[in-house]
Amino acid sequence: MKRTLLFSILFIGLFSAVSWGAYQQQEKQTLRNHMENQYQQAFHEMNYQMDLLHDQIGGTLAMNAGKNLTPALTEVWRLTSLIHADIGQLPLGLLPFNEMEDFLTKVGNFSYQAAVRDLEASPLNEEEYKKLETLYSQSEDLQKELRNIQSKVLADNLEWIEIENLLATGDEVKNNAVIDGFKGVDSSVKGYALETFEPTEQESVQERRKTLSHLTGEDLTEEQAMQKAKEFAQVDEDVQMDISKSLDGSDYPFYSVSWETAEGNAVNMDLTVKGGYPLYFLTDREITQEKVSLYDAGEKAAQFLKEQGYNDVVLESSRQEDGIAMLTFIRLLKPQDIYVNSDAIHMKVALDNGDIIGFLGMDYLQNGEEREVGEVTISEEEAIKLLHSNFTVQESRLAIISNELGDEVLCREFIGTLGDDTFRIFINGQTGQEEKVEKL
Amino acid sequence: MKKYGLLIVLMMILQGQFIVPESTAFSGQTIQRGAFGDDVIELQARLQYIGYYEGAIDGDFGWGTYWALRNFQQDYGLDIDGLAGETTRSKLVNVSNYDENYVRSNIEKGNKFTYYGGVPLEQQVKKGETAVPKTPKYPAGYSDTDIQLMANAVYGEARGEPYIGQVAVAAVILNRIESSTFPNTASGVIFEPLAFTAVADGQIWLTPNEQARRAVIDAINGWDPSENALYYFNPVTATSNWIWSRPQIKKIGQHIFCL
Repeated sequence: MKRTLLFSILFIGLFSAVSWGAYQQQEKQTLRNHMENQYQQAFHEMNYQMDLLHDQIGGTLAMNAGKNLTPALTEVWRLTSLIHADIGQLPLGLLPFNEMEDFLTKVGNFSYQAAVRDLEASPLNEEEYKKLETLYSQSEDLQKELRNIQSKVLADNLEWIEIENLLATGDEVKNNAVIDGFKGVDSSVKGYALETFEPTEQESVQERRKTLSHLTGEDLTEEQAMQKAKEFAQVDEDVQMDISKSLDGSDYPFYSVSWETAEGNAVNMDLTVKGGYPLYFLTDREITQEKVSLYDAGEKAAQFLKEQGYNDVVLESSRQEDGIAMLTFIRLLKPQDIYVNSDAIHMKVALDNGDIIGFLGMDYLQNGEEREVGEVTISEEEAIKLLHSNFTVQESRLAIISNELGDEVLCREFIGTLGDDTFRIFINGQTGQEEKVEKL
Repeated sequence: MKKYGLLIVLMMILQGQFIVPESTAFSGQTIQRGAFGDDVIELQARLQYIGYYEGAIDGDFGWGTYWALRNFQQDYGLDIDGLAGETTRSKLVNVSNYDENYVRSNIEKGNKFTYYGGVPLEQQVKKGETAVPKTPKYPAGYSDTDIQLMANAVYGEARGEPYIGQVAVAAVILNRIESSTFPNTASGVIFEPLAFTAVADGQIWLTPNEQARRAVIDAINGWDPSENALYYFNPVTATSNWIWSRPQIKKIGQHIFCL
């Protein structure tokens, strides 16, 4: 009797374990299929869009009238962005596929910039047509390579989940059609990007500014850098500081300095090795009772900047959030009184005791090269006539901004109201073109 | 509306009920655009009382309040600087009224209300309508949900790291959004397959703490302790060979940041 009971219990136990296991297995399989299907969808869609892209580029070549060219180029731009989105859904995270994405962005930017300009007035020039022709043949090659991968995936029933697992474990993967295929595509694209898109002047300026190569001064030793940090943060001589130098891959060499305040809050600061220019400064701490007004915080930050030798900046905007004043200072070019929005210094001031807890000098440093400032040829009255008739101008000044195409342009800036909303409008000071409209 | 404001003031003078300045007026600070708090509530209420300000009394000194204040300064022959300094404030206190109890209690209850002079207060509270609660404003282009999502990612990825390391991780997400080789949205970057381990193992759904959120906001405001990095990895646990081939920028805590 006892034995029968024992067996029955064992049997029931075994049965439930097996059925539970089977159920789990089934669940897992369902989820796995679901995910695999999503990957497959993104992958096949990408191939399809790539076909369309190739056809569409071909289409633009065949057209000669500006009127039809604009929608065709816009379509090219749209397709590059769709393909980009599909790639983002594939588990390629650790597989170098950067060149392909970079190439797509470049094709997109090129077609966008050509599409937005008035093609009737300034049609595509010979060079741009050549570029389109090259893109046409390049996209054909890419399409073929991707089609190749696609047919292998279909022929061998390759699963993207398998590929994801292979990539995630990081083992050296050999003889996987998809992974090898994507690597192949990426390396051929690398050549394409170089051959088709020589860096424009504007890009090389941006690239050069990014490396901060225009900074002047002697290289600082670690000792000197810490001294500089102490002067900047106005801390005691005997504060214990840690310092480390940037690794070799940085665009510009810098020191990272860190220390603790008397209250035990961490402070971090980076400054360039050359000249010791502060890149950023940041204190992390909780803010207690607010006692300082936003206005006083702005005055204090302005005073600090003056003491640090930033003599050409003025407070542009301020915002009070969670006990902190977020302040933006921008460069004011004298004697013409031109405001340069891109040359900004951001600061954080704690509103409990008025301490400066954040400084960000990167934008100011990057754009710190001397500029050639042109003359405005359009008077304020002429510019106002170009604005929307319902727009009420409240303030106006001169400004240098980067426009849609990334070029720096000298503008007349108007702040005003349209209904209940406040807008900022930039009118090119030489051509009268409306360069930018921002809702504030 | 300017004229309407003057008219009300004129009517009040004629009726001989010119307001006696309240003793509890402003805290003595200069108020400027971007400020937030009690002084701004009073400023908006007083400007509305004399018809210059038509927006919501919410304590947020935005552009609407700014233009109202400037119009007031213009009409009263003050310096037109859009700053509520001492002269402007005392002038405003002289010509307007401020029922602190009424205004504050309506804000606390979340009522939709106005505070125009000469209109009975009980008619100015919109029954049954609640004002949209004021959400904090963030630098251009990022919504509260983006910040939430990024705070989740930062907490999942780097909660054991020093604060500066968390800001750096947030900055990497933002650098990827800007980069041409990654998706262009916060969600696109965060949920890109195999991009972040915290996404893969579900740690992204832990509830982030206040520090992670602060780190995200610092990064959005521009602070980038990673100095333009697009990748980071933990050298102890990294399994990919490829990641070691990236140019390395700096090490913060357990993470090496690279291009």
